[in-house]
Amino acid sequence: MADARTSPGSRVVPRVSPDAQRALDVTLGLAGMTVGAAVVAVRTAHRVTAPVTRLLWRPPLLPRSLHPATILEEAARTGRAEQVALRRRFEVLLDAWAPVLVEAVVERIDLTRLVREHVDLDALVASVDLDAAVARVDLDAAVARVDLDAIAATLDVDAVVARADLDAAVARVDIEAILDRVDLDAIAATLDVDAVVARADLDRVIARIDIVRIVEEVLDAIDLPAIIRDSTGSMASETVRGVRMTGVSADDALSRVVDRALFRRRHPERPGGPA
Amino acid sequence: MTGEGAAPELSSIPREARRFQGTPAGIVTRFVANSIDALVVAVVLCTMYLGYSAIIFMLDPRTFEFPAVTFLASLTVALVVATLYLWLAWWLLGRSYGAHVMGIRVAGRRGRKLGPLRALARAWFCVFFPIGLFWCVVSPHRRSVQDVVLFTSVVYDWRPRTPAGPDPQPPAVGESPGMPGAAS
Repeated sequence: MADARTSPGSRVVPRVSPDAQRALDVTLGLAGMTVGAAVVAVRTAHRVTAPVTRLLWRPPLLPRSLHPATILEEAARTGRAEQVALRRRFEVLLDAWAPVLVEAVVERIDLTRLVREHVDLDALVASVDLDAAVARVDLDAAVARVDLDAIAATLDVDAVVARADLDAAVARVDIEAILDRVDLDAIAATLDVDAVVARADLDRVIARIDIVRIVEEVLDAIDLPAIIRDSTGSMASETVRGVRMTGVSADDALSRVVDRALFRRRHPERPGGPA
Repeated sequence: MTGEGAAPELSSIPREARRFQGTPAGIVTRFVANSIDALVVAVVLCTMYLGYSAIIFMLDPRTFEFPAVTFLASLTVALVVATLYLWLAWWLLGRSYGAHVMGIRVAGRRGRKLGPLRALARAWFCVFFPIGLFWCVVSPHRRSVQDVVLFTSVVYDWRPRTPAGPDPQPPAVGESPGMPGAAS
């Protein structure tokens, strides 16, 4: 009535003949009709016997505790409680035995090969919301558990620096913004200038200074030739200076005498006068 | 010299002498300066006399005798020479040699040099009325008679250079001429 052929994928595909298919349909049709007739019969019987059934379940002359319905309800309640207790005992047993059984099964199964052959890992990963997953990760705590010193100790910094394009990196740095954030005054206040100067090779620094040019600039600024002309032209020798100062002192002394004789106050524009 | 708050300037004037620069000079200093000027005039007169004698000698050496000089002629020449000397000195330099030695100068309004007319008038006045100098002893502003009349003043100024330009107009009566920034 039916035969089977082997497909290229080594899967057995049953083939049913048309007669057998027809017989199967007839059988299923008769079965359906029978079930429908049975349902109708049961509904009718139930509808007819319902008053009798209610009298049997709840006899009017018997106390409620002796009603068959009450007894059955009590039995159902007891059974439900037993079911719950039994389920708990089963779960306890399952908890105890499941790891053992799973372990025993897993030991006998190559799970890696099984997953590789039967699980579409790409589709699985594609369905995962990695952003949400990463957002839930406490990266600070993860980094805190990492021994960065040990990792840094293993780094070949020279090789890293040799591969880095430092010029491009520095070109992207906003040095002015960095300097704006730096408190150079505070940094300078912490400097030990004496120690810095003590380490400096001042002789070399002085050797690099163009002292001649500086002197020329200073002389241009102060107009030294004019000062020399003033000094020589004003007869600034000690003798002349002494004579002049003596004259000034004599003028002042004589003015004091005259002022005192004339009962006159010192004039402010004279040397030694009140300010 | 320098006003308060102004930038300090380099100066060849000694520090102890800076405070009275630009203030009126007293009688002692002015008298010593005038004495030096008198010596200068005397030297000039002697030089003129010797030059005049040399010219006479070169013209007629055999009959040469030193020329006789009368008192009136000598006084006249001396007064003229002194006037010319002081006029040119005050007009062109602002000070005579004696004033230069003593570190004073004649100033007009706002410390400027005198103009030619006022310099000539002051020179003539000083030569023919030298006693007027002594009025500066009793003058509150240390002004001589010439200073009072011609609105001039004599101030301490140890700088060799004098502010340029003539005095454009006489200062008001009672105003003390002096150097710019001087105490007044």
